[in-house]
Amino acid sequence: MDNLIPFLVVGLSVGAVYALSGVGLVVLYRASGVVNFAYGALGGLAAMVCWQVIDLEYADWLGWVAGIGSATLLSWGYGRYIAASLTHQDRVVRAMATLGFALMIMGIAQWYWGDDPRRLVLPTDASGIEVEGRRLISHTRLVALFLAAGATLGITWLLLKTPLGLRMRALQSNRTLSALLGVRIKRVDTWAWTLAGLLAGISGLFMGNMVRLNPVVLTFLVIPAMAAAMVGRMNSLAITVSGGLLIGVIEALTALEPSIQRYGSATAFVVAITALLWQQRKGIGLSRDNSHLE
Amino acid sequence: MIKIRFGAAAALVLSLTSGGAWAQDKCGLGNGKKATGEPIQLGAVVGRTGPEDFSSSARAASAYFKCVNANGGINGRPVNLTVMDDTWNPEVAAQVANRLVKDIKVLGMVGSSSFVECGANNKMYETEGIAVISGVGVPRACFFGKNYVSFNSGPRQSTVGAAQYIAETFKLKSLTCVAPGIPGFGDWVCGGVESYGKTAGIPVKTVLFDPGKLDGGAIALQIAAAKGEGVVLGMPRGMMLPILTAAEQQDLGKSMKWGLPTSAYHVDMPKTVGKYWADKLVVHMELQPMDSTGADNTNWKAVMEKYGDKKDPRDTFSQAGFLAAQVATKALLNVKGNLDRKAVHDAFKGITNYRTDMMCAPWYFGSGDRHQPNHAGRASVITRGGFKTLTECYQSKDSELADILAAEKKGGLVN
Repeated sequence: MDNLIPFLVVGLSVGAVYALSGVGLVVLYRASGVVNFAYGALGGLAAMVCWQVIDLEYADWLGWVAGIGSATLLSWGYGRYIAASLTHQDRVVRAMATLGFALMIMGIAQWYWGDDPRRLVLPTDASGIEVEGRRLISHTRLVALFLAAGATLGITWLLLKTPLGLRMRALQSNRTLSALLGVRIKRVDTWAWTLAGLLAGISGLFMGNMVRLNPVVLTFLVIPAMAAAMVGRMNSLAITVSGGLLIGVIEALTALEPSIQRYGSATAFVVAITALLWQQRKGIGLSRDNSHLE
Repeated sequence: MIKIRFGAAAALVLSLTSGGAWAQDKCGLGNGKKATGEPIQLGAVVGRTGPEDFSSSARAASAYFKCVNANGGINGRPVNLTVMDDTWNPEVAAQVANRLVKDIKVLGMVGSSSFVECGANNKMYETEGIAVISGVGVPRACFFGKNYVSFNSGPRQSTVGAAQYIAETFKLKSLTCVAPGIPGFGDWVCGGVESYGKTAGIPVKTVLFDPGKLDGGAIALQIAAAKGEGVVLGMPRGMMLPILTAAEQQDLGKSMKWGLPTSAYHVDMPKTVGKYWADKLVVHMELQPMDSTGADNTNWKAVMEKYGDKKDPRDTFSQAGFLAAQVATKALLNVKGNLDRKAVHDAFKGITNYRTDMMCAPWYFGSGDRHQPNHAGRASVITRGGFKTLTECYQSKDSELADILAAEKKGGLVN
């Protein structure tokens, strides 16, 4: 069991970032009905911008702000000007549009930064909690865990206790009726995109630090995030967080068994498919009936 | 001075006893006249797009040939090096090599560097009579092909070299070898470290990981669980970084000695890994240190400056590509008569005893069934500002080299 604990801790910390990303996807889907395939690319852009600013020898905090800010700004711009013009399109069309957005961001980032190996160092990397002279968890991973928990609680509070949250929930229930009642759909959607961009930026910085600082690799990190969101039926924040943590932990534990470790990267697919099959057997659908979103 | 002799098969044997004496920024004929004749077609296969850009070698070869073309070419004819991307996919590697050999009709291959092309194309190169002077060979197949030779010593020898240095210097009692579980790569690389461990009486544990694995943290934990006193990472630079990040987060740099192969010998590496790893990472060098003032090394830097792109990497693989192009040029310049595929094949294979200040020992191609002329290197350590060379040249202690060393002993390849 002692040998398992470090793997569990590492798995939980990566899972926390998947969870954070999953929460960003769910919030946007709940408010606007859009599956955002550009989430990973926005995170990747945030990480690359952050690295660039720090590499130019500006203060670290400026790098974090610039990275997260660029993802937030881009997501806001997409929500405000592009997603808004697609509101009346089919959901598949809206999702595919985000895929185009992702490919565009990834292509530009790849063109500008290329494949050169880089590393995003955070000041919290070099310290952590030590147990019996061995570092159990670094402060970077600890911060990721707290941020995932904090973001989930914060967004739950936003949805339940604020006027914006109320409008988001109203849109989730019935967009047409909400519009008739005076809810400004475009404004609420834009807020949802901005929030999703903010979360994508934060997740991107952690992923750039923990996984690999490469725009293509980071773009595809939308897959485990999407899997976590699917586990939560694109609806439940708590279950999405659990899904993200589960994917992270299973992925880390596969490293213990040589016969299955090469399949570790398939964990997200396995967890998502298992959850979907189980939900189908139990008659649970994706985020209730969304036909009203059309 | 260039010594040329002819073998029984009328193969041109190029023997260079003072290749390093070439002047700075001088290529080929060095006459400053632009080559205008019919282009000589050469090719290279690289893994440019994929898990990592692995085209540094061909970029340097291209720069060198540009320099050659601006300096009289091959007796007036320019060299046209067509570089194709195999996308790290063996099927694509076979397709692009076929295109080079059968459609473009290249006379030879120079400056290739790929994870997949040797296994996919060695047979075809033999059948078609194509000799390959690659810059960088990666998997086992690159060192077991009849028509394929590289300037680097390969990830296995380099990882063994790093393991050897840390084990002997720090008197380690156990080692862990970490490599990606790519068939014909990871098991082969760590097999070399295991072979060395057996000879030296040091137990070696191997950790192979899924190259698509997202989290270096789990790999670092496996390293910690293996409890080796020393760790070697046999992999490209891009894969090392997530592991080094996670190892730093688990503070493994203090409790273990770390060794890296030559893929880590890149001008940006000290800054990229950060100050935590300063004086903790031993890096094996397959070629001369980048700051060496030897004639060929100086020429490499000058050629890259003038004919390369600013973004072209300045690393060991770039040095290897430069050398591949340089030796190929010298061989081509000495072909008498018609410059066809057979003449180029014979000229390339006839190269023996090629001396350059960028290598520890003379380089050769020869007519053996397999080729591994580079099997000695130096150790360096990453400091805060760059690299510090720690040793002079030393031989890799890998049992797989027995046949190569025996062939060299027989004579005719190196003097």
